[in-house]
Amino acid sequence: MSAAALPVAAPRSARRQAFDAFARDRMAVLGLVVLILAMLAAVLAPALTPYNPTVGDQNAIMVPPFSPGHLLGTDDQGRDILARILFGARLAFPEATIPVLAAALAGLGLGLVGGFRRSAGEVVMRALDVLFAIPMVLLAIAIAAALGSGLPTVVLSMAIVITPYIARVVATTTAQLRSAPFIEAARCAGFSDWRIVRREILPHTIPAVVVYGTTNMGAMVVFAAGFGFLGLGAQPPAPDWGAMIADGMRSLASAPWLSTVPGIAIVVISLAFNYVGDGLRVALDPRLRTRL
Amino acid sequence: MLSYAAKRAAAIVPTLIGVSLVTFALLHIVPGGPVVAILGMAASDPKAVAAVTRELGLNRSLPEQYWIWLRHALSGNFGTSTEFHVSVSTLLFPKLAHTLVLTAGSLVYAVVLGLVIGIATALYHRSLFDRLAMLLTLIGASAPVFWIGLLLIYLFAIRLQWLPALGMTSLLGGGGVLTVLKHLILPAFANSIISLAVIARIVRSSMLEALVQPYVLAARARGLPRWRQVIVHSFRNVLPDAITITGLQVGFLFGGALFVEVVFGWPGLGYLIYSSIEARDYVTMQAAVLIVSAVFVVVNLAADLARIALDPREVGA
Amino acid sequence: MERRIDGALTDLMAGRLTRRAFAERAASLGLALPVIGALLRGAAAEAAESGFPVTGPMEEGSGGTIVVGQESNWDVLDPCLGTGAVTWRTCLYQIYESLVAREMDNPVGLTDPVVPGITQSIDRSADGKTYTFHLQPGISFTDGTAFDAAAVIWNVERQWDQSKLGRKNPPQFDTTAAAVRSWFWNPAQLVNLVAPDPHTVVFELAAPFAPFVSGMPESGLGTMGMSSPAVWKKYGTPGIAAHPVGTGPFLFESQTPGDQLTIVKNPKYWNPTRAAKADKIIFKALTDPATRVAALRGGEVHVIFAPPVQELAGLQREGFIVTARVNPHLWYLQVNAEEPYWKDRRVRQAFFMSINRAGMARNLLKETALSAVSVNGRTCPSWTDQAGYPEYNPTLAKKLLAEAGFEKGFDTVFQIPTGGSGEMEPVQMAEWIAADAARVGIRIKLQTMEWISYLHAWAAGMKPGIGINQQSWGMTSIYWPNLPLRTTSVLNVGHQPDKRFDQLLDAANSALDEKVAIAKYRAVDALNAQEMWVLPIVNDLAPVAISPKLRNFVHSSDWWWDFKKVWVKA
Repeated sequence: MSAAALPVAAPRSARRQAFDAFARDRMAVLGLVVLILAMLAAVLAPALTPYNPTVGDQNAIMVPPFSPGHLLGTDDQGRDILARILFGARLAFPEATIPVLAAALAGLGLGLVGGFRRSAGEVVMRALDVLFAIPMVLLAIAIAAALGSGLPTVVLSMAIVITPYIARVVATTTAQLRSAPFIEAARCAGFSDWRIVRREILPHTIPAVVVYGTTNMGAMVVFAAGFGFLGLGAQPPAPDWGAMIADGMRSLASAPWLSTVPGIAIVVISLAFNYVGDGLRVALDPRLRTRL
Repeated sequence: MLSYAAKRAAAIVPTLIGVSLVTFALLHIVPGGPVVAILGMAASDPKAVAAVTRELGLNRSLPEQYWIWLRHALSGNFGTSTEFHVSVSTLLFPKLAHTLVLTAGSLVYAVVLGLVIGIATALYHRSLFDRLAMLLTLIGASAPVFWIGLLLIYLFAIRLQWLPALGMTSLLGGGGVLTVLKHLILPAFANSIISLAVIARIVRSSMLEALVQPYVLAARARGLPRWRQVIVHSFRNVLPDAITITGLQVGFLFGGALFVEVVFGWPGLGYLIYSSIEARDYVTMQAAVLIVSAVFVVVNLAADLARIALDPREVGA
Repeated sequence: MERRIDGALTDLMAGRLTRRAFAERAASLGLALPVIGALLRGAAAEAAESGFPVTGPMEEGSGGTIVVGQESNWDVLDPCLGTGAVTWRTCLYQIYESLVAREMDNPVGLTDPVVPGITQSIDRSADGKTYTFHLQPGISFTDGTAFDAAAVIWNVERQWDQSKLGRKNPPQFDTTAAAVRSWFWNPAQLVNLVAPDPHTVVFELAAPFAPFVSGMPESGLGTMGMSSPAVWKKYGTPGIAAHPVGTGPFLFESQTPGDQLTIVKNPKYWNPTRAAKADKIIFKALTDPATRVAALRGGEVHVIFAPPVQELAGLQREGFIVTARVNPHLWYLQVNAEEPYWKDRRVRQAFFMSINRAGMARNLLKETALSAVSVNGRTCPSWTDQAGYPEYNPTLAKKLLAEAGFEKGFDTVFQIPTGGSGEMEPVQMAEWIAADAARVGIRIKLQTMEWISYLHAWAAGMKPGIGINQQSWGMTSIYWPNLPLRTTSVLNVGHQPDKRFDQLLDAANSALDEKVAIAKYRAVDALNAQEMWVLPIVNDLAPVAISPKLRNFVHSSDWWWDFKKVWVKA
């Protein structure tokens, strides 16, 4: 029999394999669907609710959920909670994603320098060690308290605090590659350091950063809510989910839904991010694709 | 081994110096700073401002201030709290002890429950119990810890009234160890959830790996009862991973206690940092962040060394 | 006799006695008719104003340890340096006695005239510039040293900056104390302080100052808590806060800062008829409102201050008693005169009219406050509801804005603290105001700050770009309007430029007859009702929740409290 007669499937590209691996993970797909719907809801919020999230109905104060006209109830100013959750998503998503993006850029820069250059690298890594030594939550809160509350402060504090972790991941990869043969070859060929880093090393570090970023987005949603809870986030009457939980604390016995509902929103988004992140991690790393 | 430990220990010194620089800087980024905190409304009086500035030594050069602060800090003098008007060290150290108690309690929950859930879900892999347990732990790890704390308070303290809502001891003092333990139940559990989830996951995958090892299969073939397979054979493989991950969690449990302390009114260092931020008591905030970081670093070092002591193979890595 | 009248008054206000029955009982106790009439009027006013009782269960007895849950930490325990109602309520008013004091736990209320205490009587010269204080003889500080004229002078000289008079300040003079207390001593213009004999102190002022005596008990305003000079001599200034020694009915026992403070009955209190009834009081700092409520429910405290208003109905259902009372508190706004849109008086009035103050008091604050109708506190003799403040009227507000050229409204920034002594629920109230203002076109952006930073920003005066800020204050003394309304006052944080206020205030302060002074202060109020530089929003009734085990608890008619008569039934 000639070899040509045997049916052989064309090998799928790496990208296609990753996509398929992700699609096979049902929870990851579900998570992605939830996230897309949530982001759509945030964008379309004014169309989805007739209520103003910051101006309440003074005659409808502390209405419990499942009451006519207020599916999730109202708060102590008469503001509809569903409206506040929808508009609050407009704060939660940027607070979760922008710091990671910023930290990824900064972390890449620092990590590449830290891993590639021996001496400068030592300095950079030692400096980062200091940031590692201070517990993340404390450092972020101290920075935010110093800079004053508000959305930009939250984003900046989170970005500063996450950067060292990404930088470390990048630096480790870079340091490992630094002594690899193909890098040696590139050096011998006379390529500049900048060119080597940009064309040879950088592409290897990107997957790790992507995975790190996406697996931690869920934690970022929770982290950002923490700032709101402590009063360091967007100013009232902005519908910050964390701030809503804190506001509900004083009425915990009489109106538990005020604190409960925003927390559920946070859990749903955070879970969705976690599942998506997990799926991405498995999809991007072929070694993990064997299911346990 | 000893030389490695010594090297690791020595490496934390520059880190701690760096931390002291950062915490010192915190005091000085903020406009007004401690002078405002002390004088409040009277801070518009230039005479009073000048007097307080001199008193706090803020008119000296920055490096000089840093050096003085550091010297004092090393001898245990962290200055006087602008909120409570007592020496910061009398505030700090009892509260450090309280946070350590909370950390210890959380660790117990995280390790015990993490091990139990990890092993059980591995043994009953792919069952409903496994899926449910993994889902619940994932939800717990995805939820804000302060929210979980509030839910626990609502359920156990307000609705069921089984457990006290807040604080560390009964308000009139006294009550001893049992009272503290009773107050510890909810906050320690809330603090432990994320670590619990992580430990459970790692133990589960480690256990699953171990269960398909040849020697375990051999034990099964020999007809040994299930529990012997689990405890005696697989467990030995799981232990190093469990210890590694636990070591990494200790620091996290200690440093992350802030939200739990705030929600439960637990009088620890996290709560102190939070209230000193509220009160603009930078002197205390500085000292507290420094102490927490120092303990964090030391605890991580200790966990690391313990791990290596238990599994010397790691040293080569 | 006092006790029986107390009981009768309580019964009257709780509805257990008819007015006629009360009048008969009062007459049989020997009270004169005009007094009975005044008591009846006072009781009626009290009962009508607040839906809450003024007292808890009243019963004779003594003993027990009272545990009090405070809403914030106390400050330093030094009468010249400690500020805030909590510090005074906690410790200072129980341990230290003020040279001049009011009777805050009188069930009928009104806190003027001033009650004799460590000062027996006060004479004023005909030209109003000299005040002679006759001290009660035979009083000692709890460390055994004598309380006498020298001690009074020593205490005043800690906070009175004599360098302005060309004299050297004595060693105990403290710059911070002087800065904090300058609000009183600067306008008082004290020139000389002498003690002709050990029980007489003479204050000589540069000019008549009508609020001199009534202003003295106001904390943060020249407080006259007397501490023992011997303590300072031994321990220096920080020692006063570390070892508080006064002449009061309680002794300091111990404290854990930020956590707990314990005081015990003073067995050697100089006035046995007004000695403490309880054996001990423990003050706990429970800054989190949920913790406070839980502590009360759990039986761990007997009293909590500033309970969250949403929990009050539930607490009452569970058998706890919520008391509230008219007091001098005023929650008010000031607007920045230097912002172009506030320059037209119609705009300021429109803003005031757009706010549903009564709705806020009723719906947001659950009737624990009253809509404010005067710049004065309700216990102040110059308080009136006839000052002319306009009613809530958003339609008229929009019309006025249009007339002033703002049909499209305008944008402004409102600075508000997230908490603070007497601040109630500042952010929620600011959100309510912003929502109301939005309905007439005034678009308010909130800027929250935590309390200490806010105090500093507030006291420094409103910066350009800031349109509105807020404060809580108010006094029983007629002096209060000087602080926010005098153009030269540091607390005129809105930079209001109208000198007519200064003229009226000067006339009021130099009046020798109190009635004239009150009339002038009322004129100040009426002028403000037209000019709207200070917008009075609500008066907090300061609800307090107490355990049914507490006895003889009378809600204070001032900012701070007296726990002498209170005891705990086992």
